[in-house]
Amino acid sequence: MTTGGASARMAAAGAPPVHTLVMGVGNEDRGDDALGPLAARLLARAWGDAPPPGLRVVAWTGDPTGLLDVWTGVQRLVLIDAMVSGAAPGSCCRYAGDAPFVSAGATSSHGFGLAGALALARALGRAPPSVEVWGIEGARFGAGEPLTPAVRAAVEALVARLQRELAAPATAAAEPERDPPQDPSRGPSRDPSRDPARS
Amino acid sequence: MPSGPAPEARGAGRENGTRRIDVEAMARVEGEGALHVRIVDDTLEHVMLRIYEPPRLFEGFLRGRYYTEPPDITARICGICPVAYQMSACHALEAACGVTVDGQLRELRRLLYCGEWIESHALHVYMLHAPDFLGYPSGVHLAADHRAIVERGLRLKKVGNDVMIVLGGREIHPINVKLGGFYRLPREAELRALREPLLRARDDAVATVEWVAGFDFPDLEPERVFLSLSHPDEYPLNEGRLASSRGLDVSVSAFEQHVREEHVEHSTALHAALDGEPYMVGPLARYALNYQQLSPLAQETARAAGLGEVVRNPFKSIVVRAIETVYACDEALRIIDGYEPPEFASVEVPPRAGRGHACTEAPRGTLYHRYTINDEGIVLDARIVPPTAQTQAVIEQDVRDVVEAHMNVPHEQLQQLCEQTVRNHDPCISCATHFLRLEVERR
Repeated sequence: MTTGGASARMAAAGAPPVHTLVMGVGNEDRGDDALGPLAARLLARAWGDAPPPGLRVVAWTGDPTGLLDVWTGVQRLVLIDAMVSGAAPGSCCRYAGDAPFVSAGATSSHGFGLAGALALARALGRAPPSVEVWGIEGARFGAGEPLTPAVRAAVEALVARLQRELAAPATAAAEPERDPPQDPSRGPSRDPSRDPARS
Repeated sequence: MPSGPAPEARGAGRENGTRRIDVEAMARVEGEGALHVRIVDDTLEHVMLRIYEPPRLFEGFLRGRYYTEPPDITARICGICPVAYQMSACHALEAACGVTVDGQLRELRRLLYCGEWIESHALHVYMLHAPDFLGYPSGVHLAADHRAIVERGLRLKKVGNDVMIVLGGREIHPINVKLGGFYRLPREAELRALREPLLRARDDAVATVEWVAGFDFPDLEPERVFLSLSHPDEYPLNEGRLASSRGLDVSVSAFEQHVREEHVEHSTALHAALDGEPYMVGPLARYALNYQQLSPLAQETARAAGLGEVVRNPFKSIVVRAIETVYACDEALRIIDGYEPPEFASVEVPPRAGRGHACTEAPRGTLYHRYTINDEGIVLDARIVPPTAQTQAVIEQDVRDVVEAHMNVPHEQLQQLCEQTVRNHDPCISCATHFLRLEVERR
């Protein structure tokens, strides 16, 4: 597994082609925002030295604009991020297709966040053909705060599920899987019950 | 970076003769704050840049820390200009210890700073500020219509990031900076590998100047007091004397004798005044006070873009930012071409009781640090004055000028102009504050 913006991008240069990229995104020092990188680490640890071929796991804590370079050439992108929707902490949703994500507030200190990077990649025609986002509802995002127990449990459940699903051969797993289009005026999680992945 | 449903970003309404616009979250500004504008009977009643995050208390929790820690602790104040915080902290603490870092280590610090300028300026010019001039709500919308242009901006930004990765270990909150120099020196091959990308970046930066110079700029030429570092031999990044357009020319250790910060009722951040007057820091100030130190190419590009040696129109800060990007590429290439590996990655900085001051030039302006340490190296006292806190009063003045000059334009357009006026200063409000919420109230 690779961590962070810089090393991930550097590693991408000489590594074998990545078909499926699993990326946990977030700030590890901001409470439940750490859930993305944590999920990536747990997943990488579960596979040890033998991840499925063509699959790479990255905990991303770097500059969101750098994501576009890491996504280049990837066929299937699986993103894991903290979500703020008003649902119960630990609620887990899967979104695919062109879900209209937005960054929660203008709080990113880097100009824009994951949602912005995804929108930008799509505007520039550089988004991977298949993108799915797993959102886990966070409860607290203060500096230095610990993970909420319900969030931790949801991360572990998601990791177990992804470990099973992604262990299938990469080509089979890469069939574009589109959820029904959403009303673009809706946030990603106003109707979390529609997704069977909800935990 | 949690994602979630879009907040209702704006609300506009007219009730009982009162016209008001609320902006929950003003986009494309670093951090969080609020701007409130009230117009009654076509008369501007007040403009207030309000900050409502509690003060950051960094100065408080630096007390009692070991003197080697502030560069990494203060870098966390801002994700977009961590190098500025690291550099101001290092220089101030080295001054306290009576150590000067020079030669190739000084050059490498300058190179790291060039990376931050390229990265920060490219992000602001392309993704945060250009959309204002071209009528797009965001950089993403701009990208949809002008793919090649935005790709150029991202390419430019990436080269800045790459410089920061080679020198700093990673592009956000670099981890390779320490008192006295670096933990690890870059390999010569790593520096050489930056050369070609920097040459391309320089071309991209020149093209950026040509692009932004063609924008339409509101007619505004306010007389502002400029403050920046000034150095006889170089465009200021890491060191110099404090200079102002009023003729100030003093050591950075005199910063607090000339800059007074005071609490104002509507903000938890402090408002700064230079010898009693509002003043501004940042690209326009640096450019006006150091034009002669720009590289020949940067000067030539500025002339070709129709700029004089002083630019007063705050909307043209986007052009000056692009010119500084040309300079930063030029300067990075100069340093790489002249690089000779120093013997050590850092010089010793033994602690001694004392006080040290430093200013360096963050992309958005002068950043002041002052530390007092004891002979065991424990920090007794710290003071940090970020650039946006210094420019805050001028941002309010600019908004006032813009509103008065455009009193009769449609409400939506006025609101957009107000936001653009704030963005002219590339405020890193997260350094001084949090969250920008805009309200224009018109009666």
